[in-house]
Amino acid sequence: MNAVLDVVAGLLLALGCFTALTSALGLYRLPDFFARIHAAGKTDTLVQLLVVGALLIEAARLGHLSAALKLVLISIFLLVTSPTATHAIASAAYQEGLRPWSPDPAPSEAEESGA
Amino acid sequence: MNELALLAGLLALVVATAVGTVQARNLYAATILLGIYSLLMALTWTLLHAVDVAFTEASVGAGVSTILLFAALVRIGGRETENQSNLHLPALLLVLLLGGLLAYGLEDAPAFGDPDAPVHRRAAAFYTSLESYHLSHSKNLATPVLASYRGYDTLFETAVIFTAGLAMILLLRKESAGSPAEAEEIAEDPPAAEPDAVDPGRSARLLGRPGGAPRDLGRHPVLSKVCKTVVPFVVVFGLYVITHGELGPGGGFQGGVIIAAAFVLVALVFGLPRARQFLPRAWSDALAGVGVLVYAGVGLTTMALGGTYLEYARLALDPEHPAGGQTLGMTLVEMGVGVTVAAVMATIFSEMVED
Repeated sequence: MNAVLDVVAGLLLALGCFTALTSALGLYRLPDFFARIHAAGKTDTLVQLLVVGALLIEAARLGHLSAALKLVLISIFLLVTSPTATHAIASAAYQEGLRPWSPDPAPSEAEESGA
Repeated sequence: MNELALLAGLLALVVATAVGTVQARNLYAATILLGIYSLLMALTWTLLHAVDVAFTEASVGAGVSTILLFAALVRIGGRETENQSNLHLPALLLVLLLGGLLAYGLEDAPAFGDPDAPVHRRAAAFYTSLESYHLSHSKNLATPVLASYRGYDTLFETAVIFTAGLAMILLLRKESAGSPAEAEEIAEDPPAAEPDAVDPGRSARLLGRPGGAPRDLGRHPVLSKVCKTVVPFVVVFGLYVITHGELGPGGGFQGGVIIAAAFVLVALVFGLPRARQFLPRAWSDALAGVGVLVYAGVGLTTMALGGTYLEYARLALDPEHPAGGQTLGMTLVEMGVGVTVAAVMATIFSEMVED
């Protein structure tokens, strides 16, 4: 049973690390601010859930119940605050006049000149 | 071995962010990098089992310092001015001289982690001893060192923070600003139409203060809801960290900064005038001094009870158990530190973004 839990925790941790890596890659490679912050947002939610989930399994397995409770609280706090921070940053950028990049800028330009 | 590799990797990242901070010409980028630097340092301290230092680094270095630097950038603008002469010879000589002196001084320092180093044989050996535990009954090793053995040091650190708040008030506060009539007058003024280099209207809009366009709260339902939900928890956590410092990582500095962060959060989402309703200027001005006075007053009380300055054992309600006095004394001075730190951080932030 313990070995199974260990393997599950390890898998969750590995999946979390992989997702974090793709997120970092997206932050580095994607074309504009909004796409990048979209990629970065994955770390705050999905990666956090995977990693905290893995740690939670380990903490419960080792009988550290107060640590497990703290992990749950941390996870809830991050789930509430991190997407809000992402939303605030993206919304501030939009209000300051930054617009999402488009691979084909022609239609929007035509629209603007038409209007 | 694994820990050593992790430490090496972390320190490499620390050096990289430090270089990046110095290289960045955009001051907003430099501030963010400095925050990352502090976060990496916090991880490094955790790895070295210095949890209290890590906590301080995370809350003060990565948290409130970043906010205060951003607040300063709101005032001065985000670009570094081009420096014409790249090489300042006297400065270079001074740096080389000081660096050389430090390197020379390091010759005599004991090797890193040497168990025979004086610090480990005298002070630290006592601080970590069972005898010290029986004296203080504090479950957190760092707290008696900070609040008791080095109580004078911490008292004057608190005084330094108070002085910083005082300097901000003296330098940046305007005489009449803050009177309600004045605030209303500013609110009725139309926002500046011409965006200049720094664009005060922009920072005003971001902070939702009078003078800028009025903040439309209906457009920020998510932010206001989350802020309202989170702030009570942040304040309670700050109080917990202040009072719990004796038993676990934490204390007045970290807890005070966390409470100040709640103030800043309210100011960012609802505007500074709204935050000032929770902590009026007169209150934060007074509390900045009250914290130092509480700390100093504990010392005077122990003297009045026949002990020396800050001899907490004299505070014991039951003379048979002097450790109770230690607990009481350390908790009281941590509260003093927390009150001063929270009030001064709120003051610095407000004075920076207000004009």
